[in-house]
Amino acid sequence: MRWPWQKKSTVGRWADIPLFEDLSNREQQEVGKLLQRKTFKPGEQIFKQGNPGVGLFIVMTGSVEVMQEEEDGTVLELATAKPGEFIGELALLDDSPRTASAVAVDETSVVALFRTDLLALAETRPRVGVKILVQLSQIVAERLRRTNRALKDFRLMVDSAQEDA
Amino acid sequence: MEESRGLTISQFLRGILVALVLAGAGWLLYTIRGTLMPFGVAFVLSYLLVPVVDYLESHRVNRIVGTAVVLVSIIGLFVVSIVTFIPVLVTGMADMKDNILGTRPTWSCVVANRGWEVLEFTEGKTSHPDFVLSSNVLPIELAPGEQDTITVEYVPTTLAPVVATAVISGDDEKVDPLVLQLSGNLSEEADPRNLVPGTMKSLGPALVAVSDTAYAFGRVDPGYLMHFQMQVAALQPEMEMAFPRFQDVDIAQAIGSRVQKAATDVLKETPALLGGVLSGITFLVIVPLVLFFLLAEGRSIKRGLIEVIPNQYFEMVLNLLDRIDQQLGGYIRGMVMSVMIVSMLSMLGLRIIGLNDYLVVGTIAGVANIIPYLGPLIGILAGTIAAVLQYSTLGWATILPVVIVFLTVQLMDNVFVQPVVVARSVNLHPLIVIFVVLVGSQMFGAVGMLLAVPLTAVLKVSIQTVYESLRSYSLT
Repeated sequence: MRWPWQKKSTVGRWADIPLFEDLSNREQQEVGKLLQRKTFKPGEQIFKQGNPGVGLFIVMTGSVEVMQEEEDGTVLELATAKPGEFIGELALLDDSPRTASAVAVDETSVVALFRTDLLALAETRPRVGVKILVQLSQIVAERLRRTNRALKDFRLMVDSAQEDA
Repeated sequence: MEESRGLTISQFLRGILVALVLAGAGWLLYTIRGTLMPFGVAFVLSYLLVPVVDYLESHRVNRIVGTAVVLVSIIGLFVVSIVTFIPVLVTGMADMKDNILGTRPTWSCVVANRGWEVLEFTEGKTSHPDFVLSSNVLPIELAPGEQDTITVEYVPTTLAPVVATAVISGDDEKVDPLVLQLSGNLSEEADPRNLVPGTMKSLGPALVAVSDTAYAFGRVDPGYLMHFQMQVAALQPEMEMAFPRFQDVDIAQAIGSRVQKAATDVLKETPALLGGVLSGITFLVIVPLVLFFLLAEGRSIKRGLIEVIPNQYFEMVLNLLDRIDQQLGGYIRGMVMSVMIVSMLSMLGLRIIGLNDYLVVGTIAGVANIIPYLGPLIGILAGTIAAVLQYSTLGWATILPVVIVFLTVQLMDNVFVQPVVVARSVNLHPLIVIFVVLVGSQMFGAVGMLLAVPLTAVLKVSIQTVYESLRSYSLT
């Protein structure tokens, strides 16, 4: 049941991201109710490295630059998120500090899914919550695997360099 | 980043502006605190009921339907508890008051002048101090055909039978005094309520009709206070020997009048207090209404709030709201659970040791438990008073069971209830607790005392969370 003053939920491009892949249409509508739209002007910060994160952002229009600031002040550009891509998904797990900053490049609109809303959803609609959390952990696991592989390659490289020396 | 190192003028001005806005908001909140009350109550209740609505929703009950079901049940429960429990509590308190003060029966008779001369009574005396003539009656001046009532109050100081006469006389020596036969605490056999029916009496030349000339008050317990006063009165000479300054003071009398005043005050204020809090159509209509929207639409309300927050701050504000929400929810739910569990445990324990007033004392102990340190003492005090009243003795045999019950309850509360239901205990320094309880009692009386600690805790948790959040967002 929807009250007249409530906006229709936005089922759209956000539903295409891997996190929501397994959801049925009905379940996507459930999740859609939790999403919050936000628009950012060019150059506006979406989140800042080091701050506790509250949730994940899915880019709808425009683009977002993700960058990491080193301790010596140099800025490392990590990636640019295009419409349909998502950033900040680790904040769905806990409110540990953001590992990177995100800045809108163009006039950008995003939808946000907040951790507390997702956890509440997991309580009231456990099936939906579990599906999203499983997808999330698969994404994180895949990334960990890639990191491990990269670390292994790096070690081998270092070892062979030492042997050469 | 550079400009945040030093304090620029614009930052200074902005600081002043923020302070002014905060002060203005505080003042506004203070002036409309009466209106805020139902909103506050609804807010607190929503914390208690959100888990229930969530539970229903997780079992595929539409949130609005679930909210309606929960609200209707709560209102039903409220009505049922008012209809059943409150009268029990009120009569319980009235009984307790009677136990302390004793009952003070009165009796009146009508005196009518059936003669042709003006009749005047100026003086009234009773032969025993337990019978008191109402002071506002005398002098009586009765024109022919007029009548007036004379009221006698029986203030028993003992359970032993008392027989006395009340003599009401006038200046006119030709008129005989009016004599009333009075008795109290006579044994059952000798207790015909009206010893002598109304008669027409001729007192000298005047003709006086008296509705009754004798009355037996029957069995009346003096009450615990009177027993106590008599014991104190017996000690008065010794006290005077030890402390000469007591010579001018009737100690028993002083204690009596003070306790009497306190007891009647409490009883007089209780209905007004309950009425004041609950009365008003606004309260009874607004609380369920606000509660309905908070329960059914809580997330939308939060969403609307986030929408208007500037991009720069919204993540921080959201994080802040979440944390406060979590802390407050835990605290409020824990507190209410703790009150209920401690009340029930106390009632159970007091029932087992055979205390008659277990409902009243258990409720007092449970509610007082909100106040740390002081609460358990209030429970023990209430229980001890009730036990002493019930058994009319003051000794270890009376008090010890009560103390044991409350110690057990406190132990269970601290070991099982508090760690489980209170998510993160709000540690307030004992000095702060004492301070805010005193401030609360000074500002809002007994209610202020009860609410002082929870409000301080809420404030502390909020400020602490705001501070921690600001620091983790490196704004301080």
